[in-house]
Amino acid sequence: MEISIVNRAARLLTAHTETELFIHLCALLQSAHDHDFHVTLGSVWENDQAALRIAIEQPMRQYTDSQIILLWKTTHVFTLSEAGSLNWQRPNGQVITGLVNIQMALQHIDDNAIEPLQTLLA
Amino acid sequence: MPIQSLVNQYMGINAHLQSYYQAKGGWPAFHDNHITHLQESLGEMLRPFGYLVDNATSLQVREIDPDRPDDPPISYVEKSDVGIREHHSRASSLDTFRTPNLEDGTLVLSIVEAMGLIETDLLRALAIREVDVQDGRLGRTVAWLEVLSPSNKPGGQDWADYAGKRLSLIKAGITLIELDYLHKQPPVIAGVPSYRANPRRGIDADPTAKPYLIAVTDPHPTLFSGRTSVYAFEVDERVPLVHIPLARHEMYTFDFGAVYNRTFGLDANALLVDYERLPEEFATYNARDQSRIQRRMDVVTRHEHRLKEGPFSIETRELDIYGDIDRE
Repeated sequence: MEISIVNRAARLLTAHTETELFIHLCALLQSAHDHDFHVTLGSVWENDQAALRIAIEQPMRQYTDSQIILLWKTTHVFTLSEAGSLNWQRPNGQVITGLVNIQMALQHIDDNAIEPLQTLLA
Repeated sequence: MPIQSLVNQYMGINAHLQSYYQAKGGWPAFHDNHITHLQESLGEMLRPFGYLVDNATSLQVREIDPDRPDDPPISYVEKSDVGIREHHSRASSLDTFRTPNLEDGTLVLSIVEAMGLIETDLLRALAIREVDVQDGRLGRTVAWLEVLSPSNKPGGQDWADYAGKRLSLIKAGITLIELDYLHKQPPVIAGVPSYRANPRRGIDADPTAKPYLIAVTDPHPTLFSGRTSVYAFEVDERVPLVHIPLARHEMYTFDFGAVYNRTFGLDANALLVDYERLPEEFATYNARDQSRIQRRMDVVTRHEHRLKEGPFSIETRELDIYGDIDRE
């Protein structure tokens, strides 16, 4: 049975572990075909540990005096370490670490359940 | 045992493969694949910004007279390779069989030969068009992209037609992007140093000339005050990032090298590249690039058991052997 994008988003909030949240996040992003963002899933080596990393790029316009520069910028990075810890780097550079903190930051998705991905990536 | 890889082992354009196509033919198939990959990649990058990358087999170009902007624009159909239908009787420069090839008594022709096609019939271009974000309708063409073939460079059979087409595009206010990865023929951009000598025209080879270039001609604000940006680069040098001017003063920076590598990796002829042997017509490269090619071949040979990766960096050892080529 196909799981709706709203239900996938809701699972982020009810995940019991960071790994579970990361997996639901992968599923949520994979199911979003008609959205304007690029997702890269890869492995990295960070702080003497292997980790899985989701990097999300979004289209941006940068205004200068004479031009508007169109670019794709990495806005969100989720990193799941081999030890199971998860952090989320947001567009403003803020890094949120741990299941509880990430779920708190994601809480507003529930209030915008129709477009959870736009809300997540805003 | 040949040294082969489906990963482009050059930092930029693959001199071995390009030399093969220029010496033996077959460029139209690579060209066609490359155009498809460029369309996919550019299209994916530009779509969210309100642009669509169209396969320009036929395009209505609207030419506006800047002195009389209120007059109705002059419209005409611009084919992807305009004017070529007037020249069907000319010999093709495609990789066709030059003489009938009999296999077990059966005459074997290339499809191109059997269909009586000519090279420029098969070559496509790309048009970058605006899309109305409100209703999704296609708007005007803002940029036109050509991957050059031997026939539409100076001295080629379609050069005159191609030169006319370039002019009609920029007169219509369309930015022209030209990818020239063919070092043997003179550049299409006037004023760019010639990589090879042309005794018939009394042109000497310029030792500072580079074999490859990407040119962006932006006819804005007007044809006479617009400019052409030439991104010239050498053998084994990364393809530069190119700034593409679009509508509404928008600009996008694109990595053409990444798309070239993709086309290379999917090209069956990539396996004809043998890094143990010098490229076809090696003498057509200048001394600097010959050194660069040999240096790259050495690097590839040293990594011959890891050629699913690459390209590999030049190490100090190679720099010592070949000297500082860049300063020659």
